[in-house]
Amino acid sequence: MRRLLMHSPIVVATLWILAYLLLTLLPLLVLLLHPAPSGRGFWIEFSVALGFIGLAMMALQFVLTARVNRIEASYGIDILIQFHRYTSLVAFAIVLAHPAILFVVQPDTLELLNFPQAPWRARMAILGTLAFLAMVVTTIWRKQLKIPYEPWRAVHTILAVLAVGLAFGHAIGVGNYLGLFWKAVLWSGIILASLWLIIYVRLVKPWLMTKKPYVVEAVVPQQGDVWTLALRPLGHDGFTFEPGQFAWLTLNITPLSMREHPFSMSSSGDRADRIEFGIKAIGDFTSRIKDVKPGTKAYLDGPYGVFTIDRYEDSAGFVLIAGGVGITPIHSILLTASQRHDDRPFLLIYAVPSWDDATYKDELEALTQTLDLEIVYVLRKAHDDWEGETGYVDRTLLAKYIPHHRGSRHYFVCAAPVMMKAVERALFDLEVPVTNVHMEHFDLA
Amino acid sequence: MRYSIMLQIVAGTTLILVGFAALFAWLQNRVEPVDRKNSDVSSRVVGVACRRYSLALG
Repeated sequence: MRRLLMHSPIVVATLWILAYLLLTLLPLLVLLLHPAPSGRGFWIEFSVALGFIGLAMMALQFVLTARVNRIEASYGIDILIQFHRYTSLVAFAIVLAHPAILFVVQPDTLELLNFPQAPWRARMAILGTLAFLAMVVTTIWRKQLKIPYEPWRAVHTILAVLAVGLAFGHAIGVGNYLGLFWKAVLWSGIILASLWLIIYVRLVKPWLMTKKPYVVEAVVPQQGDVWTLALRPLGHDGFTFEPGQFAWLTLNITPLSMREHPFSMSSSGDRADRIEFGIKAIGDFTSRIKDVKPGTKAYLDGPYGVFTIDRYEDSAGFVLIAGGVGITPIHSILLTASQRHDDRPFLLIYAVPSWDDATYKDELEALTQTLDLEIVYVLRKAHDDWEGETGYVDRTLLAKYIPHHRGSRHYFVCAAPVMMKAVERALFDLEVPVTNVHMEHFDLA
Repeated sequence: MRYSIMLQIVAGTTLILVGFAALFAWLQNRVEPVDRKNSDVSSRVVGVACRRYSLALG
């Protein structure tokens, strides 16, 4: 799979999309095995088909967000989360279209909206749709509504279970098709699989994590308001990882509380006995990192992510582009490459507000002694005697430094969303193959 | 760029899903009259058989 991904990511993407389509359409395909019901007309059947597709899409959202390693390993959690966001909106539109068509074709069905008088199957549909609506609104406008991440995540899960459960209850209540044997078998399988994923993600996995605790060994201040949090495995071997990957960190509370946060590892991927994270104090949780005492218990779920050079053994070299704390996974990549005596050329373009904000500056300078590494600092506010680059990482600056043979390198970008978008556009304009550009998003919420 | 590619993929898959829903609805309505015709034919066959049987008895 890895070699296939390296040489033909489009093939892998196509296979996953076909699998997604097949799973979504399977309930309808199974229906075709049964004789068609008495003539209800095209639009009623179309509405029913949309209802089943919407329900299948809703159930599949649990798979997309369950951190299934095999799926995640192909494209990374950030891509899956984005796919989850887009397909959820499509599912919501399809779920709304399902009754809307009925209301137009059979206006008497509008009476089903009369909640006190409506039968239970209609009430479940209304409640399920409202749960789905609440999910969409609180996710799209979470920041504007000032909903903190942790309560939002808990409510999101509850609403998701409610929406799918009520939608399934509605489908059983209507019972037009679910009385059919293979249909009942299939939907029972889908619902059981979704339930298992919820139980696994929310209970089994956190319980397994409690068996492998870590302890905080040190909290070290770095430049740029970044703190290195060093963890040591307690009573187990820890894990090695592909440099550039990240893990979900739970600190000082049980993992069952589901209050975890994703952070990139900054240490060597080959050292399981000491795992370090570079954490910038920008939010409620991250601002408290500096106060964490050595000896505090921690739990890790990981490693995750595909932002790693390990997947591109055949690449002639790498261009690494970091903005601010985005240097964290890139530091891990460079440190591990140095320890592995990697002889390929590395170009690091590192954008920071000022020279004093350049995190891991000394460590990076030390790495130039052991690696074929060129570092280009780009300062937004440079001091008077600064002779290096200033401003932003734009097309002109990139054209000056990246190799003429664009496709001979793989490009790794980790920065704030605005910079990532600008750099991605600039690389595209400079004819860097889109399959050679890899990005790590901070914001998974 | 990656997200815009993904957006196109999601738009494509949505079209396929909605298209299949339409195909499904069309198939269900297309198959149904054939079944009715079959059942009409079989009932006519049964009717003919019954008449022959009654004629034979009569």
